[in-house]
Amino acid sequence: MVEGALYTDWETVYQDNVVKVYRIMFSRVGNRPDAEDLTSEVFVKSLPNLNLPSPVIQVNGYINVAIRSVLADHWRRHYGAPLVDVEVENISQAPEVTSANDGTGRAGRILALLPDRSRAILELRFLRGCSIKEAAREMGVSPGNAKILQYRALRLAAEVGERMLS
Amino acid sequence: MRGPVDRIAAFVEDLIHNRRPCRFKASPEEMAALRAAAELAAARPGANRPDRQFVENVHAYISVSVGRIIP
Repeated sequence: MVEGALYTDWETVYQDNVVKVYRIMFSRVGNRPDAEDLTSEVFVKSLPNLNLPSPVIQVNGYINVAIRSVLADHWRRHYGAPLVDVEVENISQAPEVTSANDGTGRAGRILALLPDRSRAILELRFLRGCSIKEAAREMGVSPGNAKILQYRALRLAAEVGERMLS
Repeated sequence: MRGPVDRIAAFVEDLIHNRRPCRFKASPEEMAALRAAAELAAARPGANRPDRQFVENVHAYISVSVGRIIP
């Protein structure tokens, strides 16, 4: 970004940022329909309030605030999460398109730190796309036990992820 | 009524199929699991590429609704 650069029209603000906002949203909700809705919401909420021309850095800051607010509201409305400040990447550090899993991304590092069976159930489900029955068969457990393993593994993954942030 | 294990399993199933996931009031433990599941689902190769039609549709919507306010 050129220092002191200005945005003069909303179309450029949109074109420069829509993919970045989508990737940030997708990285937090993990599914296309929600990521699309939340991305739209960020622009519909933030663009009317922009006073253009404005410095790029100021517009980016405004979009970052909108991303946090829209995400926090999503988790509160649909899952009853308390309204807290949501930690997300800034727009200038939006994720790149995800490539073949080589284990170096944050998700790969979280998986690498899990106990073997926790890592196995999550790899089968999320990376290989196995159904719960297929994952259960691979692991030699009943589908009911595979669901329990999956729940415990996700809670462990959340703890590992939290530790990586702190 | 379903317990946390089944609720999270249903949520994961929806993510794996890239569907809008089921909604429910989650306990703090479930919230942690939901967010971890979303992060893992988002790490699938190429999954975070937005649909071109979506980008165009939002642009068109904003042109009509927001474009009236910001010419």
